[in-house]
Amino acid sequence: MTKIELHSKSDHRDIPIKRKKVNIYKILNYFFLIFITGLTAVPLLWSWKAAFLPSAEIFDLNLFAFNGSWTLQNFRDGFATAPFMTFFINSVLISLVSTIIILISSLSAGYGFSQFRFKGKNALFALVIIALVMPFQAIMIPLFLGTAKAGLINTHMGIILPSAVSAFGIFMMRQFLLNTPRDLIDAALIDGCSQFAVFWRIIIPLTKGPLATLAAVSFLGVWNNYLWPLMVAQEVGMYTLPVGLSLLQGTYATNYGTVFAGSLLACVPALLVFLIMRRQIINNYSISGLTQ
Amino acid sequence: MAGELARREARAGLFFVLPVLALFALVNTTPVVISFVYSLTDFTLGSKAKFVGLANYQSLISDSEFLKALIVTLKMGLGLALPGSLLAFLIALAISKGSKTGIFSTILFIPVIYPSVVSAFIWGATLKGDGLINRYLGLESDWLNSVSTALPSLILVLLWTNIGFYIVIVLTGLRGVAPSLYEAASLDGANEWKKLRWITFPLMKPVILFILIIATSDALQIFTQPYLLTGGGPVESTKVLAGLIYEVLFERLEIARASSIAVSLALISASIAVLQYLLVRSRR
Repeated sequence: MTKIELHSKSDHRDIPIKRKKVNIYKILNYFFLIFITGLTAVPLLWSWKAAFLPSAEIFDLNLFAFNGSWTLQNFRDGFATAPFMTFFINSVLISLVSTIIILISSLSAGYGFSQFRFKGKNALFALVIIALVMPFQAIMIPLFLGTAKAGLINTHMGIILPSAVSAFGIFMMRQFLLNTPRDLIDAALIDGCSQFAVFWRIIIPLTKGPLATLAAVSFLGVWNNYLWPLMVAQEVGMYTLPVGLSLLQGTYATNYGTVFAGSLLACVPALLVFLIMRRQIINNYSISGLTQ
Repeated sequence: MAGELARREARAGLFFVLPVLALFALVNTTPVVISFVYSLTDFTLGSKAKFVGLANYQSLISDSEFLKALIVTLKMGLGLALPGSLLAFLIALAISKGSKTGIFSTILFIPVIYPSVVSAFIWGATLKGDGLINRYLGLESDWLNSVSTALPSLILVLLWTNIGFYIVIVLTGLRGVAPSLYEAASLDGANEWKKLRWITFPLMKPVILFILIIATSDALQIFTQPYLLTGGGPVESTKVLAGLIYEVLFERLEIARASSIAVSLALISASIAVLQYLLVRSRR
């Protein structure tokens, strides 16, 4: 009885799904996805196109019109009216240095927290957990006054320092290393490796994957950061791209060509990092449930 | 001997942890404590601070500016979460049903990693009086400058920014539903809609709640888009807590008051995090 029923059911299922349902639903499904993705992508594509168009044509209603008036004038204007290159170099420098320090510090603390027993470990780790959920607003006022007192306003160091440690990075590295068999490290220690050599020769190669993910996520976070650099960078020469661009927009509100040319400079590195590491980055977001 | 080994291990552990935690204490833990201390004083720039107890908090309770910003912030959180989770659910469902749909989730994720300043430029140009949207619709409304549309417009911008993230969360949730449940339902004669209604929806409830929590805690920290697109206006209709703190700090130099708002924000944020933790734990 049951056998026959099962057979007939599965037969039933096979035929209609292949013939009818698949076609109509799948096509509707794709149309819906293309529509939604289009809504997301069109503003981005428009802004990229706008960077290469004369200001008069930027608000042309036909988004897909390409009438050959491409120009690099927006970039020339941008470089002439504001030190785009300086902004770019500041952004690169600050993001790279912050990312490198985040990687080293997160791995070091994550390793310490995961593989060693010592007094006060839980209390210290609690500080990391608290920081994980602490909004930036809760620290920015003393951080700013302290930075001012230390004479670090308007310096790279002042912009980098608060972003150079990441509670999330420490947490992530600890989680990963908790699954590392202790034997591996013990064997190396018995063979006469120093603690530092173990860290250098075993732990770093072992954590390449999560380190790459952390690097991508951290770079994006620092590269896109606006509020803290806005507070600390007070002279044009110290502006990062987001800060420089936002003030450029304030002064030359009408010239969208220039604004979008500068925006492109700010987007390309972020997009590159995202495209290279998209799977890891998306996975990381889905696991952490935390945004920068 | 065992004692010596343990001591050595502890030393090595501290060697790896302490330098990092020292930096951490400097730029995170200490500022949190100082924020709280400031909030108990009447510290303004250029005057000597004096301890006032909880007076700042007492005045916050009846401070219409603070309460209004709090309400705007919560509205923003809800405005993001409700349409956001529904939309994310629909899109994630479409992505999970189709094949070769990875490209869609990748493109939808781009705004999440986009510099928020640039998103603000794009939407500023799109929503302004003679911007793209009005040209398309043949309207002349100043979306970001009218009290009735400024906040919804901002929410739309943030929805565009965050939806990819919400989709990824729902997708993770959908993948977690055991295929055997659907198979069992098919055997019992359930059609696609019934499976959606009786298996997917109930199992997605905690995921939706999760998005609600994330959106609210996002809203608590949103600064860039309101700051650049509306400056908190018109008539403070888009002034969020983070924007208010910035203004009280940098324009009025009222450090103690800014600190008390910041600490309140942190407390709300912390309670949301606790809620999130309990939710995640109950799902295990």
